[in-house]
Amino acid sequence: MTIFHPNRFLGKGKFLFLFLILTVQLYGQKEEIMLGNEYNNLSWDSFVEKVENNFDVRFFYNPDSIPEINILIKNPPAKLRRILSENFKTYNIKISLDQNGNFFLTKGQALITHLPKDFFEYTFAKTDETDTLKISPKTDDNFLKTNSGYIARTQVVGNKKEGMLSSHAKITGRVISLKDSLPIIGATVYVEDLEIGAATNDKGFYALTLPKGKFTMNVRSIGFEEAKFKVQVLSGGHLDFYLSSMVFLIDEVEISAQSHHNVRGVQMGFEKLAIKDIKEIPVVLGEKDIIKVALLLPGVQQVGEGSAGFNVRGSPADQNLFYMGKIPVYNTSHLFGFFSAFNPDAISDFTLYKSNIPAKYGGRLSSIFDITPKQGKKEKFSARGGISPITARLLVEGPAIKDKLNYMVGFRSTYSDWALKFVKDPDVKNSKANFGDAIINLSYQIDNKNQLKLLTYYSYDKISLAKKVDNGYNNAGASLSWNHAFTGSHSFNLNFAYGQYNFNEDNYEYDLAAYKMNYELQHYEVDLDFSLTGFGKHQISYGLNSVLYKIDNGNQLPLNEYSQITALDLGEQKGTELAAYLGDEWKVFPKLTVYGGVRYNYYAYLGPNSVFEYGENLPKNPDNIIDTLEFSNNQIIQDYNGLDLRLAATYLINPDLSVKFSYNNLHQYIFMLSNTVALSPTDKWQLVNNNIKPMTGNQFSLGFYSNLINPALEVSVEAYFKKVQNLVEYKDGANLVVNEHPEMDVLQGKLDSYGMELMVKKPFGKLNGWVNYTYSSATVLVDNKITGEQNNFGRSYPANYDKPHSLNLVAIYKISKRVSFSGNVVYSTGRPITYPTAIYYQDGQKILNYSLRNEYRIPDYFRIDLALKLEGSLKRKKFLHGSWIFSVYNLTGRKNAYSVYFKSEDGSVKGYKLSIFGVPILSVTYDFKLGNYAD
Amino acid sequence: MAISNLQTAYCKQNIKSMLIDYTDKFLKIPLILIILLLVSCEERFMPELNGNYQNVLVVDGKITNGTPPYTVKLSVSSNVEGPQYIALSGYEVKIMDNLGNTESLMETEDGTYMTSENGMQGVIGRKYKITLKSPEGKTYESGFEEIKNPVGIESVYAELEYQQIEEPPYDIPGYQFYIDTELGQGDSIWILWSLDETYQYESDYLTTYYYDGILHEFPNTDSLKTCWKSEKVYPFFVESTLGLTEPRFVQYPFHFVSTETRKLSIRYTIMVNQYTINKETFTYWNGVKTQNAGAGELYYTQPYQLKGNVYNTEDQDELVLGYFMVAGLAQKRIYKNRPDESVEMLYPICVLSQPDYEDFGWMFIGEPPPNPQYVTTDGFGRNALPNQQCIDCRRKGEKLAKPDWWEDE
Repeated sequence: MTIFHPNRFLGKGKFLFLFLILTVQLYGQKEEIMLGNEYNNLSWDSFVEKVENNFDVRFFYNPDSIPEINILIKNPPAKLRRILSENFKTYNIKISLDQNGNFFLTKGQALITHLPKDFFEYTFAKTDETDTLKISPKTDDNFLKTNSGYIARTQVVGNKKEGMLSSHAKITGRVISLKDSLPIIGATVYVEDLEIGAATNDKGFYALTLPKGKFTMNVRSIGFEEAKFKVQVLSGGHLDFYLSSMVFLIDEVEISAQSHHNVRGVQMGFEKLAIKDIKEIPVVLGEKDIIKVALLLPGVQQVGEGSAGFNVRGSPADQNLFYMGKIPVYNTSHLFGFFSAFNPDAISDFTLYKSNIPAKYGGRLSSIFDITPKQGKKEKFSARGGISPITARLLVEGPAIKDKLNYMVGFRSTYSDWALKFVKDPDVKNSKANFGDAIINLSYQIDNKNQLKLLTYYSYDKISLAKKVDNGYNNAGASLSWNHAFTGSHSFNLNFAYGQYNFNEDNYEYDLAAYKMNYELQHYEVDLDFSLTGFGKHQISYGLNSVLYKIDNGNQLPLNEYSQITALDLGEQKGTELAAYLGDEWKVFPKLTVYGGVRYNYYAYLGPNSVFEYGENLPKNPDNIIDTLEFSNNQIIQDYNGLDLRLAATYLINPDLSVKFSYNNLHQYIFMLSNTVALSPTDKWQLVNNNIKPMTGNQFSLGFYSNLINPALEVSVEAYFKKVQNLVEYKDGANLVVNEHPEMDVLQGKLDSYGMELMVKKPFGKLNGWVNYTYSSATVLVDNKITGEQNNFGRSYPANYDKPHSLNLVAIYKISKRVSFSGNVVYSTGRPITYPTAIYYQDGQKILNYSLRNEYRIPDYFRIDLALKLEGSLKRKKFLHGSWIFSVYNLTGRKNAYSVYFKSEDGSVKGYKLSIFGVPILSVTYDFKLGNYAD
Repeated sequence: MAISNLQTAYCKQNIKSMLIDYTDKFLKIPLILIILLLVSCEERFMPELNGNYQNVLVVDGKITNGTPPYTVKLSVSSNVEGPQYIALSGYEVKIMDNLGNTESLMETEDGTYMTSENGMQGVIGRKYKITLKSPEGKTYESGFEEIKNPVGIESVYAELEYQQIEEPPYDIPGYQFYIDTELGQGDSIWILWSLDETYQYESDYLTTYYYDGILHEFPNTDSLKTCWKSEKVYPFFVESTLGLTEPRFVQYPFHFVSTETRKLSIRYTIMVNQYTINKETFTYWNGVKTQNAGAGELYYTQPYQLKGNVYNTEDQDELVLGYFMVAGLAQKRIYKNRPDESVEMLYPICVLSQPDYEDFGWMFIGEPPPNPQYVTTDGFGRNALPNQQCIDCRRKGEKLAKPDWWEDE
């Protein structure tokens, strides 16, 4: 059912009415529709369906404003217009009819369906889509014309009697989605007249303290129509705002929620992407991938094309925390990084915090990737899916118990094995690669104030290489959360989460050394999070956060009877991280918002375990072990505590320009043991222990945020400076022998990074997208003056992912509702690399001597992608809606270096460059869903 | 840094995939990576390198419990694109043991310094070090290192195996050599194997005449037919028993000889030099091995600059490359004859063709050749001037003389 929302179309000066005018002139008035007794006493929905089926007529209305009545026809046959007027008169619903036979039902005000004479001054777009809503602007005095919208009516809060004693009033309420009646998180309610505003918390609540009077309130959130409301405040009270989803007009797709917070919000270094907004962006092999799109944002880097892990603002990949819903995910990639481990259809949006991380989050120094899974539809069953060259996807959703329980179930699986058969290399021909993932999201509305959510997630990869090595890795997790709203504006969320990552490997390449090994990480988490709005100008959140980590480093076992491998138990690790936090966002003045947060962390490394004690100030190696200490179960081996500090401030220089500052201090107690350039699935997460200290990070950010041509162009520039202490780095040349004591293989050093991010974004319009440029630097220094241990001879070196210049352009151009073009342009400096720079001989064998670590860089990276998306017909009544995406990745076929390496050939050493996607890659993806375009 | 693409020789634009096999350690540690299925492309590319690490002092020497003399070679490093051995002469080189015995080495040729045959003898359990003095007066030395008790070689044997390749004939037969060592001492042992291979082979034609401006009859028609060639096998093999149940290697596969060359055409031998080294020497050689295996790939370990065990006594930061190895030595030789007839030998065999017969005629025209040209005669009495490599076995750099240690069956 189409949802009608007047101010949407009247707003922003984008009108689609030219066609209407033409048809008016060509066809003139239609005949009146007469309805007989067979239409009598039908429910509104059935009535609409029946009439629309039998006559050339359409109804436009907001379902929420239509009361649940049966339509009565007093004297059949009767004129349709008359029937509607009679039935809705008592509910103050006005009926208007345009020349095309479209009926508009509006609460309070009737629409005028002809155009004012000066209308063409505004008109610049036309459409020939048959299902497009066409209405005319209204110049009624009751509509308040503003910059960008019309306000339908004045809402009154409180009453005069209660308000007599006080000059100010506190208003609280929720911002709610019209479509599914769910609260909208992070929506802003902004009082234009006072230049103050509030954002809704994670339960959808906002609170404002206002003087009594009449105000215009601007309410907006990602993916929803911006709405203006005229509010008269008489005394304190409750006021909910309803926003409708952006469904009809595809030329108005938001790219990021940041637009809403861009200038006024206290967030900085904050990115939010909704899957529906990025579905046109071309990606490799047509595999929609929200995480890959994150790489097009400023400050997010990757070591190499198709490698796993992300580097946010110069931090290694293990300093990012991924949450799928509330489930922590420790390996976010399929096939070693070519694809991300999340079914794109099952994702609603994702949020990336890279500078001021709210006190609620902790445990990672660099960023939080918070992925929100889609909630099952409340109205009706729906299904969608798709086929790309690599995977097939299916997702079903709908209500299980109407208005109570709804579900979303998504599956994805690859069928990519076929591709391997084309490869000549016998090792590859005999290989197999499989991956898949599944997600189930259930939400249960107990009552208005209580909601339960159960989310489960699973992903797997099974890769068998040339009958030599079998590799498997899995993520699994589940979370149960309970949201409860107290009376007023206090609410809490109780959450239980479990996340698991494991891998196993069977290696039978050499009988003598055939082995199998395994690894498992378990993460148990309990969170209790309260939020309190409407406490003066404060928005307070506080809570507790507890995590128990259990790591089984696994066994290395001989795989068969011929193997000479010693069975080896690599031991287990256990640790717990407890945190209590308090955060307050305070509007000090209308123009100044500050955020302050403290988070107290307590970490304990727990038994049972036996650990080594090394001589003081001596390198941690077997020669320096002075004692072996035994600890029983849950006995504290070592504990650490730390106080995280989070500060942020936003000052509005004028309504369209703000300056923001933030300082973040964080602690991290888990790290990934890796000595390869890019992450590998067999890299192990390890816990901080008595011999490895926790990492700490400090980051300062300063930025300017502006909406230049309000709000069509958002411009921001943000600079940051980050210092990480106790960074864990592999020792140069450490033996890759499986070691149950990681401290022997690692050294702790420092990471310094700084940079500047410039972003220009056009969040909506026929042409939308963004362009960003980042200058950054990340250097590592490992030089332990006390033990004399160092990497790279104690000299600092660029981190593997250090790419000083990076430029990303993303543009989406909607030619029509059914056809859109999009493109990316990506440039970055080549990653650092260590090259062999000299050659020498040992007993006749040529040996390469390498430069200092990362002294060189591979050639710069440049890529252009294009995609064309064709939507199926826009017929309203259809069983299945399909869309095709044709995309070309790396249009110019530039052979971007993935790596550069050297081979000894015919007595000399030859350099080679390997490109992974060295030619343009064409792909076709087909997506489908039940229902029509807008469903 | 500017990087220029010097050569874009070719680019395989087929659907190719890359299998990276993490062969860092004997234990074949986990990281195996497939970068699959896509249109990957490999092309020649030479980055612009600065010359920072060229002309660096390189030490290459060893002392073992084997029979003297012991050799130390000094050279300087060269650039990567045109590698060359640049000898460094004029140094004073001494080897000393922990009992105070010292021997100065004689520079027998440029950059090669040797002890005398009846001079110092390496003794198991004793510690040795090297000192160098450059003509400019800079001094270098290594620390004292012990000659470890050499782990014995129990047996070396070969089995017929097939190696798989991408192109036809897909399976390449050859001998895979294995070694079983004796039990070593301590928890683990560190071994470096350096192999010397020698093989006997024949050219395809008998010599009937030779031409040096005049055509001469060649008296012993088979005297250029049989040769022996000796080579060192590179790279060296280096392993540790860390992670194995006991300090010994059983059925360790180290060397594969295919039938694509004439190595197995008649008789083949390898001399296994098994050096029992210390952990530091292992770390150096294992680093060499790891870095040669796949440095530059994303799923390999980070390459890094490998320093040797010799340092400038006044400036520890000065980079000195190479190693003075102190090791226990055990040796064993094994012979293998040509595999039996069921095994297809893939090396190319010369066949006389029309141009060879014609070349015999052309040979007489013009100036006499700088080297004698050898002529063969076929079964019908027709003379031909074949490719000289097919008639004169020395043309591949081998010797006609059988090594004096060579054992025939």
